Amino acid sequence: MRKFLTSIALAALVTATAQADPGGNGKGGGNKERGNGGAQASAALNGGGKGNGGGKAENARQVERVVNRGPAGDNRAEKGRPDVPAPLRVYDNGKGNGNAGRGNDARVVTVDRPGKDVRPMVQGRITNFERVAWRDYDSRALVDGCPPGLAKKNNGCMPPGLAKQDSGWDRYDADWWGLRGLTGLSGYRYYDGNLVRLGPSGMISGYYPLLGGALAIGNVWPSAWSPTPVPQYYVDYYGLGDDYRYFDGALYRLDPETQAIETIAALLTGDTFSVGQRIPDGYGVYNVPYAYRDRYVDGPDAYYRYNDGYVYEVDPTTQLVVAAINLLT
Amino acid sequence: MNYPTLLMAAASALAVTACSDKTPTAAGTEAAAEAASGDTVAALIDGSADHKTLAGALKSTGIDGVFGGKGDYTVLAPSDAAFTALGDKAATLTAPEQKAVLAAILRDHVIPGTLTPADIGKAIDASSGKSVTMRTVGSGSVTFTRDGDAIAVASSDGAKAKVLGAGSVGSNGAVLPVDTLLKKV
Repeated sequence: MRKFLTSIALAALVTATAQADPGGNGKGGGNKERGNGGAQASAALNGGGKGNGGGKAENARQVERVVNRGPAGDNRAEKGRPDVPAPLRVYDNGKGNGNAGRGNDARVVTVDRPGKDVRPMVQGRITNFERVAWRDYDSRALVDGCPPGLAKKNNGCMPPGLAKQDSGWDRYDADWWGLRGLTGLSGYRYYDGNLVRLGPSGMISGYYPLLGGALAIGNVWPSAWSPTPVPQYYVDYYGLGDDYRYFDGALYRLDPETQAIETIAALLTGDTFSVGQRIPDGYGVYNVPYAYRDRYVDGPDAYYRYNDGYVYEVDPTTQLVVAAINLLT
Repeated sequence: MNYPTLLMAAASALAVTACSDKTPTAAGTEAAAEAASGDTVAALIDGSADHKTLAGALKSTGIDGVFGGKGDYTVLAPSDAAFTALGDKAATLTAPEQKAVLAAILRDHVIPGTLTPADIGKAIDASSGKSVTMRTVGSGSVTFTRDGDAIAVASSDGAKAKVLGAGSVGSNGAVLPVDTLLKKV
């Protein structure tokens, strides 16, 4: 279970050559947004439906904090919800290949603006790249209210026997599930595919859908969690198709008609890798995919680590990330 | 197990010992010289005689689809014996209403990228503390150390296991069998 967050919006990662493109026309992460369900998300979620990007061309060197607003054409999902800072920022250095590393040193500009014209990325090194840790948004993911299935029973969201459940797994708290933002807090139990928060009376006051549980294949996507703009790179790299969702470190493919989960497409660490910053802890072993091992070989000037669809080039002396290498072919 | 054995592992381990003064310069070279199986990680687990429980668990949670796709992962694969050792908990764990619990456990056994025992051993030997840590796509990380001729692995919650044999490498990652679940249940 991902420590980091979840129903945060991922800003769309747009790659272009040379300069950012003025407001194009594109689609965001999910589509066919159906709006909020009965429960009000504690998480600040973002619209990601189809729409026009609008906006002006940005200075490619500008570092910006993108606010994830749904495109103007379909912005229902974020009504009444606060903005969330973009969890993923990528900006261009305009240099392309300023390092001695290997690989295709494409000149790449990346902008993470939802709703912009999304063109396929070319394989190459991105020497100015920053991905903010999605996990920082975990605490906003809990949805207030009653899980949909239980809500239909009209029993005041008081599942019989939950308070005294002691079947083992139910005793595991948010720490066990690794849900950052909920960790260290008491009153959480596993119930019917969700982690639920129990109030003093034993009534469920909030819930968090879990992979394999409420978010199992065949289940309709919970309406309380609207589509989040998934970076186009992930859409292409993991082959997400036309309808997809990101939640709690997992990417799901959905049936566009029924909104049912078809497959779990990918599991992500969501760790922060930023050019110029130290590589995160936990990458002590060479783990480059086999298909790229002839190209990205550890050496005295650079070593390479794979994470969430990118290979990162790292300076062995400083441990600083030198480049992010996208793997689209 | 039915996995295509990685002769590379043993050969590379010897190479590591011989070339340890040069690390990390050679990382990846031996591995790249070896041809990985054309099978996906999902197919490798499916084809293993020692991982029927794991294969079923991956299918029941839907996670198996992740290992048939483009993303690259290494699965620390608990053997059937590892599940059996759980006793009654195994039955509870694999019950339909506990799929989310099972999925959370499985995620703690998945590491991004392709790891081989040779790469792990090389990294351990090159590290000052003789241990190396890798993030999982679950709730924490795992730490590898040497245990005699074997490689030991411990999860961030304290669960410990041994890597069994050389494992196997497929088209989208690797499978490293382990003898114990790497999450306390």
